[in-house]
Amino acid sequence: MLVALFITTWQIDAVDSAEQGEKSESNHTERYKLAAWNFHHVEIPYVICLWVLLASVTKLAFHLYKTLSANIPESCLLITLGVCTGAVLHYTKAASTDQYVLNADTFFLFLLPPIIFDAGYHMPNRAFFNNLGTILLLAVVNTLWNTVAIGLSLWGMSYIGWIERDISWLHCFLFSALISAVDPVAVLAIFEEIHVNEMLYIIVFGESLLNDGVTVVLYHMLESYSEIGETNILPIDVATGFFSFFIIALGGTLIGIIYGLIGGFITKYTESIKVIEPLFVFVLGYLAYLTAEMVHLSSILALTFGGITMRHYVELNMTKTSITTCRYFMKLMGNISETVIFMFLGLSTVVETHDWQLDFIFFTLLFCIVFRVMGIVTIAFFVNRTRLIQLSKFDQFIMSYGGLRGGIAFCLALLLNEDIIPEKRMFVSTTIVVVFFTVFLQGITIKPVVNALKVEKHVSDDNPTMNERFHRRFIDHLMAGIEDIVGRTGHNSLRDKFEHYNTKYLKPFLLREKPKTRETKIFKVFTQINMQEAMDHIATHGHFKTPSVIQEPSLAKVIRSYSTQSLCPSSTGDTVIDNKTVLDMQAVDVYYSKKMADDSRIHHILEDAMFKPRKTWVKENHYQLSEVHNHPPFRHKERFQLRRFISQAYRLKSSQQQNGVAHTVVEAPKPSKNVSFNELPTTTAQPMQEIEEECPNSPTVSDQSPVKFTLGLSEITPVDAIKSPSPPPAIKVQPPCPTPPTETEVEWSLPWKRQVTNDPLPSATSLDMPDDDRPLFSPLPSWACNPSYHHLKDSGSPYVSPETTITAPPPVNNQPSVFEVFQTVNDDQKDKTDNIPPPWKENNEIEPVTALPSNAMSDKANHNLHSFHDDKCIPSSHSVIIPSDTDDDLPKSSNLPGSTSNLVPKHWQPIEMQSIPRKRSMLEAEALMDEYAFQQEVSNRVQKWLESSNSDVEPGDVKMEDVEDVEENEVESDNETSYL
Amino acid sequence: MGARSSMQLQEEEINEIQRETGFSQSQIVRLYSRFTSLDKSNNGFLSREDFLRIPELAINPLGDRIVHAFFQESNDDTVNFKQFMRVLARFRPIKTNQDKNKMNTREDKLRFAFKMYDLDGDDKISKDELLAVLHMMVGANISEEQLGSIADRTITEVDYNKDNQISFEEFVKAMEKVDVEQKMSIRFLN
Repeated sequence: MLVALFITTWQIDAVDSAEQGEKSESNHTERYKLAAWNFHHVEIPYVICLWVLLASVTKLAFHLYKTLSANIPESCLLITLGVCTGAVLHYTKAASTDQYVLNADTFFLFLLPPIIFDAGYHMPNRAFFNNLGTILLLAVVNTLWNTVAIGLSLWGMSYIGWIERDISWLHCFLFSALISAVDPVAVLAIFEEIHVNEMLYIIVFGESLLNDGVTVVLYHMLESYSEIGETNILPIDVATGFFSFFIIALGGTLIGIIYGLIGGFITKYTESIKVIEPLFVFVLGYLAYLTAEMVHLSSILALTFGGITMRHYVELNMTKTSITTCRYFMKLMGNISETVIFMFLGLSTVVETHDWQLDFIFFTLLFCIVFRVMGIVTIAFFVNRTRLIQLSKFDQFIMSYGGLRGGIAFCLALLLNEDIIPEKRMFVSTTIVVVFFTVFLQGITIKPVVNALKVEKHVSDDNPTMNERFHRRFIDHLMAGIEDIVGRTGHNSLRDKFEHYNTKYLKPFLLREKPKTRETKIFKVFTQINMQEAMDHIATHGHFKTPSVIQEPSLAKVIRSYSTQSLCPSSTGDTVIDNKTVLDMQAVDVYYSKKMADDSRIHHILEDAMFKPRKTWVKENHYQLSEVHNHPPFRHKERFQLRRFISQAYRLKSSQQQNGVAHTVVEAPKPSKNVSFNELPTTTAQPMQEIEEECPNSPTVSDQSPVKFTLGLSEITPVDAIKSPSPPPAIKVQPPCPTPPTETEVEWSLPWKRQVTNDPLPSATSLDMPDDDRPLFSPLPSWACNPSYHHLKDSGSPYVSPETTITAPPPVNNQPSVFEVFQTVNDDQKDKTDNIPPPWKENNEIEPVTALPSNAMSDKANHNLHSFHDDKCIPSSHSVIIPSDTDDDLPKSSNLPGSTSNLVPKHWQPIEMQSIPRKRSMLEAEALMDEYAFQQEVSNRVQKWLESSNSDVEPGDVKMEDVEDVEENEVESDNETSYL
Repeated sequence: MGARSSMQLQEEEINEIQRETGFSQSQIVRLYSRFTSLDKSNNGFLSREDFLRIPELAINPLGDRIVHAFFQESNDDTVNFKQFMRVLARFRPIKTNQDKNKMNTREDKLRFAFKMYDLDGDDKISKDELLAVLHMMVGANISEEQLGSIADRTITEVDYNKDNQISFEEFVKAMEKVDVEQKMSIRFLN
């Protein structure tokens, strides 16, 4: 709107300034107008568009009316329409004749090129070159013959008085030169509708195209002779005219070929900017035309051969879309031009400057027909002596009948200078009559005639079979060889030779890819057939089976199979669990394959695809969220978040260490971005601590016995096994192995694999594990408190819900520092405050987290018991959590981890082994926690902490997450973070 | 033979050839001059070397095969003029006057092409034979797999009796839509 206003204002300004001279006199100031009418500003393009629109709509309507379009050629209708429109315009005085009469310059510069280029570009090359001899003979000899014969006859008629007008012989020849040329536009319009066989079509159409060379020569020659004057012509002028024919025809052809080659060469390098590929085709074609026109060479020949050459190379360079664009746009332009040309032909008849000399018109028509037939028959006779495919009488008749005149002749007549040729008006009128006669009479009747004569129709070979294509090529080569042997250079051997050198020299130079073979068409057909079959297949069957996805039984099966594989060896009960585990993973690594990677990928895709109700939960507030959380995919997201928190926690910790705030015991982890085994304690410690806090309050722990959690169902049952080892004074965190466990690629790339490695360790091993010195510690896996999977553990079923899968890369470095950390804890309990995981401690100092969601106590315990096993920092070991209620130092208060800075963290406190809970029911009660609520709680807490340390969040943190997931979820997880 | 080495074509020979092949006398004379010009050793018959000396045949991917076709007619390594003419007779254009058509019917032409594929003469084009021709035509730059799939495709397309070979009948059927009469004809000068 603003733009429109601006433009309007600008127009007014322009008009004002233009008319300022007059207005200053009248002292009239133009006020700003609300709206403006400035038709002159847009007149020319506006009128053009209206014309095109009118013509196209008529065309449309014409084709809707089937009976009419079946019998009358389109060109006739368009001319009729033009006449009608012209009559209306003329008699209503709506427009002056200059405004709608076809302008010769417009015609030659804008209307003709699209049609010719379209024709040249879509020229059936093989038919064209196979019949080139005949076509050239017709185009040159027949046109010359017609010109001479018509010119002479007309002059003779005029001389003997049968034509009342006295016309000079030169003017007669000039007129006959323009009238004898068959018009490509008219021929194209008519012959495209009658579908004669390709040979006949190409002979007539080829003649109409190539005779342009002759016509241009004769026309310009005779025109200049007229200027020189009849009496002043010297023999040298005739000789020049004769030789100029070769220059004009061959020069035009050469220009076309050169521009065609340039087009091929340019499109060789358009790989990066494919959009402009079609542009080069059009611009270069038009340039070829204009160049030829500029130097008075045959522009039609230039454009024709430019199109032929360009297509040959350009289409091998361009993308399929560009090719389609090119062809379509070319057809479009050609069609519009043709429409406009015929309409303007009709319009141009309605002028007052006609000079109807009936006898002249009659004789012109007569001679045109007679000499055309004579020329064709004579040439056909000679041509048939050497032609393999004879031109039958019917062919010759159609060729004669197809000698249509059209717009070119009309425009050439318009171009005549009336000062030099006083008969111009008569010539124009006669030309119009001849054009109308040929287009209407011959155009309308040619179809019935073709049908009546049973002229061989065009057989389309759009879908050749492989055999046809193959054997045709074979026969081509065979015939070329036979021609060579016989010693007669026919078109087969010429074509073969051209193809050979073309492939060898030209194509490597002009094509993007060096041609691998000459037989591109065989491959094209092969591809085409395959494509067709693929389409048919889809049409009938609806889909293709993709083995990798569909034939895979199920994701669960894959998980199960691999878990079983990994489980079996570990059940042997080796005391060195961690090593065993590592061995397991390595063993599984053998089975790692691309298929598994694909499965992994599919898993992630599925999981993300399942995530739907984002909108709903985004609007929820913090506490309502827990319901929404029941959607598994969301928890999938949540885990990413948690992973981020971990990484942030780690970062925070390291920064604290740098500040010297705390953690004299905890060794400074290496400042690597990757979450490593080192960081595990910092994150896991928090839930542990909370568990210990909550446990005393829970009724199940009322007997004050420490609870020992072991992984795996079987671990829980043998209470004796837990009891038997002498209880360590404190919960020891035992790193899985002094040597860093080597996590295999399988582990981190396969979610379930990852899970499996941390999965229920067989009872035998876990029973061995809690020896007094080294009780293992690790976070509780999620399934440990997930009732839905609890029963599975008895059977040892390794099934793990996908939501607990891990996609993180493996811990890169497993430093002994972790071991040392916890070792120190055990050694010196006094320092426990310092061992509090940094984030929490820091958090506490800044903002004590006191507002836990009001959950039941027992729930809280569950909430705090968060499994981090789905994070990347899982130790490849099995762990035991032994909360100790008996410890005197154990704070009974519900202090939150952050607020216990003065207290000894419970999970570091010594456990009296005797007081380990013997009630299995209690253990189970702990284990039967709701994981969802639990995770929720953890995330809440983490969020709280995060809010306080939000400034520390850096995008770089995300790097610690699985690369795949980062890409997919980075934004989302950020959103969640801020939202949570 | 001796007479021919003197570059003279006997009248009765011309008549015989004319009867057999349908070439006109002038065509026979013309082709004989071509024959003798190819016959560098001047001994009345053409060897493979004589054929391969034709420069254009060198760039014809099927040059060897075409030359070989001439020798299928004779059982030895030479081609005399009669055999030469017999091969060329296949490529005469089909006349509307049926009497003049000798050895140049559509079937004759197709049979000749078929035999060029069928090297082992078992009246079937096997996949290997097809592949060999394909190899010659497309050159060495195309992978074997691709050629194989094209050959397979070509065979299965017309393999009505499912023997994985193309019999002559199948070949004729495959070429049903191809204007063999025109394609496999050249105009011999009179």
